[in-house]
Amino acid sequence: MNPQIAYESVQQTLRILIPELIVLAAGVAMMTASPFFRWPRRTWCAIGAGALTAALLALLAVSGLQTDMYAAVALNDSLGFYGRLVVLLSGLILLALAHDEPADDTAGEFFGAFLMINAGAMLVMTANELVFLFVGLELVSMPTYMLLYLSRRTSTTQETATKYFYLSIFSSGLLLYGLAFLYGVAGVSNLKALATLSWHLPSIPHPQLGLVAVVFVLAGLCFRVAAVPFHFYAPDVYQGSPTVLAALLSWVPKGVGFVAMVRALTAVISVKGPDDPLVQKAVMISWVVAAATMILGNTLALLQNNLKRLLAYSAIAHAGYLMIGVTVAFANGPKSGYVYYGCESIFFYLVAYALMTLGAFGVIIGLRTAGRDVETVEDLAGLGFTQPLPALALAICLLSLSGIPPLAGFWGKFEIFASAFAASLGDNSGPFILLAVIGVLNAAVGAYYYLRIVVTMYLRPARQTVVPRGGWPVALAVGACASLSLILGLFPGPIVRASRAAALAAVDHSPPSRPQVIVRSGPSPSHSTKIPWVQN
Amino acid sequence: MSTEFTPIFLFLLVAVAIALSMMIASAVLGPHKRTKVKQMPYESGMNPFGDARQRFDVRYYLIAIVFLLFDVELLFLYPWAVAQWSGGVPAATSAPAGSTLGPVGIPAEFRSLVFWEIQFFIVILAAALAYAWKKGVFEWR
Amino acid sequence: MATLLAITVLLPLLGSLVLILAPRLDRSAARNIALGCTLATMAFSLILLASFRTGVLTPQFAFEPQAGTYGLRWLARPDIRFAFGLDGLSLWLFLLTALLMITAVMSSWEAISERAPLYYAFLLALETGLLGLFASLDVVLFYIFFEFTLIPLFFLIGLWGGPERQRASIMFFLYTLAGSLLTLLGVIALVVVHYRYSPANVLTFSIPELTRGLATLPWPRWHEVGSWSSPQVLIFLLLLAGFAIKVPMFPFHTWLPLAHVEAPTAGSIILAGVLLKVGSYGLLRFNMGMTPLGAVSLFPLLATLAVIGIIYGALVALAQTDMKRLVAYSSVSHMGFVVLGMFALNSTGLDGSVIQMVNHGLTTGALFACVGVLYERYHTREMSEVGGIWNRLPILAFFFILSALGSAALPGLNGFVGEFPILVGMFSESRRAAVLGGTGMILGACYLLWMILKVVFGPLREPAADHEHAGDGNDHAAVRPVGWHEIAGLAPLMALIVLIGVVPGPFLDRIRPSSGEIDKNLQSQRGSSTVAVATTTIPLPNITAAPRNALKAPQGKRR
Repeated sequence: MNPQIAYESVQQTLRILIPELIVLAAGVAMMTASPFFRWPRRTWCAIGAGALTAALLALLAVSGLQTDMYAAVALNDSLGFYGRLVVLLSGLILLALAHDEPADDTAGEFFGAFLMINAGAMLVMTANELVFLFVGLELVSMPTYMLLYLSRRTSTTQETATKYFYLSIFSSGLLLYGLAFLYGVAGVSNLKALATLSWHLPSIPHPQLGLVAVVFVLAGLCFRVAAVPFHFYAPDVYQGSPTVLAALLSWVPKGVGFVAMVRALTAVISVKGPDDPLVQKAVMISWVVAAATMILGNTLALLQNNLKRLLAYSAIAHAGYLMIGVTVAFANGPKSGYVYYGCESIFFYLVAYALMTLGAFGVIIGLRTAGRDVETVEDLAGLGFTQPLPALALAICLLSLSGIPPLAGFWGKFEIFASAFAASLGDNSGPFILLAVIGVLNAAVGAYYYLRIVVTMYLRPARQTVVPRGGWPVALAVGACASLSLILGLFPGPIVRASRAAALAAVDHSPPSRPQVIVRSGPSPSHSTKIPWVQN
Repeated sequence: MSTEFTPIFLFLLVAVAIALSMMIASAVLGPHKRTKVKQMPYESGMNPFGDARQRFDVRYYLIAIVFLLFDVELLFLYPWAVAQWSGGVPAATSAPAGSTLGPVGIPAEFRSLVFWEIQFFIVILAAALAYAWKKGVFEWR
Repeated sequence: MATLLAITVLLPLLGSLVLILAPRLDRSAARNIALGCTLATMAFSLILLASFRTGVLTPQFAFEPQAGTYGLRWLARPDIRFAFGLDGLSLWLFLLTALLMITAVMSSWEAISERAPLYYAFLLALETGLLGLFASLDVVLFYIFFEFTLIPLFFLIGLWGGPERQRASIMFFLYTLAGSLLTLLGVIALVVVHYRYSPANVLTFSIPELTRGLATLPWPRWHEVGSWSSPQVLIFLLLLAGFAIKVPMFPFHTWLPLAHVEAPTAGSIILAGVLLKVGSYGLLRFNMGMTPLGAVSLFPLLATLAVIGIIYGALVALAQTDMKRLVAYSSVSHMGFVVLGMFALNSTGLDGSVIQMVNHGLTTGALFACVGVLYERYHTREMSEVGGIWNRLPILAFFFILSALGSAALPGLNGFVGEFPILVGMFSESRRAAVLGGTGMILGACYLLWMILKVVFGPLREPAADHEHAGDGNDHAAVRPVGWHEIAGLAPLMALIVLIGVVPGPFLDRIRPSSGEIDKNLQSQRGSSTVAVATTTIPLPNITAAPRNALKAPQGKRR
């Protein structure tokens, strides 16, 4: 590559990454400054909110800029733009929920680490490079360990932090191993180039290598999204950590993990078309993961009485629904014009999921009973009449989670199932229909445990007094989540349009006019790394 | 399944096999005479005293980690320092196909950018040092 | 007119929002608002009825930006549309909903004192759900309203119901949700199949377009021959799951008695009167209209289930001592007739089935309202404890008798107009099913007349008086006479019970074009050679030797 072009590309990349740089710089500055300044947590929180808002403005300012698909490590395509927008907005919501959480003397570190997580999530949304993607994912994970450890120094919290730390490190190892094999498939680390090359290669030279890559990357990311068989940490960690962090863990790693799956796996592997053996194997693997995750998450959630554990299993179940979208995305070949794309439904579902799960956790954060946190389902008895507004918000979020129209969660499920019906492997659409049937049966099971909470809130008499706490920021965040769940349920248009655009951007890997490609038909993939139309 | 990775797998296989076979052979063939002295933990020929599972002070780890940070930093900085100003030949002519940077150093277009990136990196590390200092990592109380 | 229809559908929701948001409404203000809303909705519906053109197949009162495309853009996807319209199948159910809602408000007039604004808010929200459901011309919109009805009814049962209300509401909610999710899959499958196999790859969610398109669609085949050769049968089953639970068809009826018994009176009226029709309406609209091959292939099974439902429901009703339970099980039996009429697979049965839906709504709604009136006075629903109310509450007794006779299909009243064509239609298809179904009519007369006999006639029997009147002995001088609101709620139903029985023509004329289209699709599927269905055919003209009152239906068919 010509250094001049490369330099311009780097410059352009830095420009579109300004929002991340702002957030990251603020995070580093807050971390460094925290031992030097004794400010109350409100001040630190306000600085964090300011940084996120500044990044939001910067993001809007750079919205028109594009980078070269095959040269840049980060893309500001529709997925990158809307993804970062969602991360920033949900970051503001989480910040509002967390504003009262840390002690004054650790508030600087707490909010600094929080900003770093946001920066990492934003990096993943834009990532177009294996290493860059990994850096983004780690930038999400590492501050998370800190947050888990910082918040409260009890033995449960420490156990939780240690558990999460070791398992997360392990999954990062798996992921990195998989990414290395993904690199080996075609010998480039640029994801768009990887997709294009594998399209032009007659078949992926070493399907076994490709399979290793798929298995390990999927395994590493399954941990992030809490999908079976890497789900088991979720209930313990959610229960043992402060509610705010449970909310963060249920949303940020999940959103990031699924976008990473789309960016690094489905968009790359699926270009071979549904007839390729590797694609078929990938579909099979994610089919099994999806079915197992849904069934396990929903079944075990039925048995829970602790609210956080229940929401943890519900988070696992929702990872299962999202995995349906991943399965479909694997099978969506390079030809465009699908009625519903798999990744489109993933993106829509993620937005809906963010609203409803953050809203549900937010209500739990915003309530106290008898001098302690609200913990079990029974603590909410009679809430519908003692605290009507929080109860209404929680009811909306729970009904949205169970997919009742006209709420956002319904459209999420609708898109997921519609994409499953629109998909097929060749002429065989049986597995997808079966998966969709398993999905709806699970949704019906899932409705039971959400409904149980609603019943407890509205149909049981109150047992103890429950008082609100957290002040206006928590109330504002919860209100925003609940009302957006309703509004997006009635008018899902903007999100539908955005997720469609993002899906088209994610699967787009061809240059405007495709020149002739010379592919060496040698056994070695690592030598055929030329991208002819980029090299002069 | 014959790929260019096959020799590596073979190599791994052979390495593991040799190591295993040696251990097994010595265990099976070697003479065993268990005396009290032989059962003792090896501590440079002296009679051991105290508990083998002795604890280090936790502060030691903190200092070790900070040391490691700067140790690894050097690993980054040294190649950079060598490459920063040693270019001159346009990279595209001499670099092998597919790699951005040739073996000759940083291309002229990138020099100032890379320079400032490294400065930024050092500043962040310095901030981390300041943070650790202020937090009292280096005070051995 | 299109605007008027949309306003009619959304007006109750507006009333509901007013009731929720307005601070500190007392009971009378709340019920006045609710009554005003339902009356206005009814008035608008009557205007719509007056301007409904007879003999037109296409949906009326719809926004139609281009010819053949109904509705307004609503989502980013141009194909899912905000489309309302009425046709022959939905018109009467729409009006029935508007009418029964007035009865529901009237029957709650004195009964509901706790949290009245919230109660009426849920009732009005339910009305919007039901009206929107019947008026929807878009499958997704239909489904949204379909599911939306669950939420208000869940709270109506759960908050204002009887002692076991929690279990009843949870069971009702989950049972119907599980089925309807499968229905959602079926709906999506219809759209996707239509998109994939229609010649021009048309993606549409519009009900009329789908009905038309799927009828001429070259459906893919999995095997060369056999009824399972086409995905139609599978989709039929997916769709059936939700609707069969709603109807409820025989093995899926277990939620119904519990929900009915525990629901407040208004809830029972709406549940039996309208909500069960949602299931049969969906069966007609989707299963019969869009997957006729499935209907043709599976009709022996479904007709059998319908007959079992008729007889089982009637036998269990015979064994009840609780009036509300009795009426609930009679619903299982009568809805069996509705399903049986559909699976007669001819236009006689279909017409009977549609009109029977309306009839059942009127008579069962009236019966539940009457039981509610009694319960309000005596706080019991046991037949053994109440008797001879003819002397005490003559107006109520009259209403009670009339609606029971209507329900028992006495010729001259509405039930007969529905059930007779159903049996005639079925007779031409399968004599055995028709004869067995006919026993359901006889059993129906048994349990209903038995109830009337025990409760209305005979010597006056009243439960021991409340603690307030402990000294009064058996006198019950304090029993409140039937109030104006109770009369106002029941009288229109009585008028319609008689009217439909005497002049069913105008009602059937408006149904015919739509039921005729379904019949056409069904017949074309039966004509296709790949499907082997045993048909015991009796030529349709033979049945016109029917008694006078039933003549209307078969004659129209004879043409």
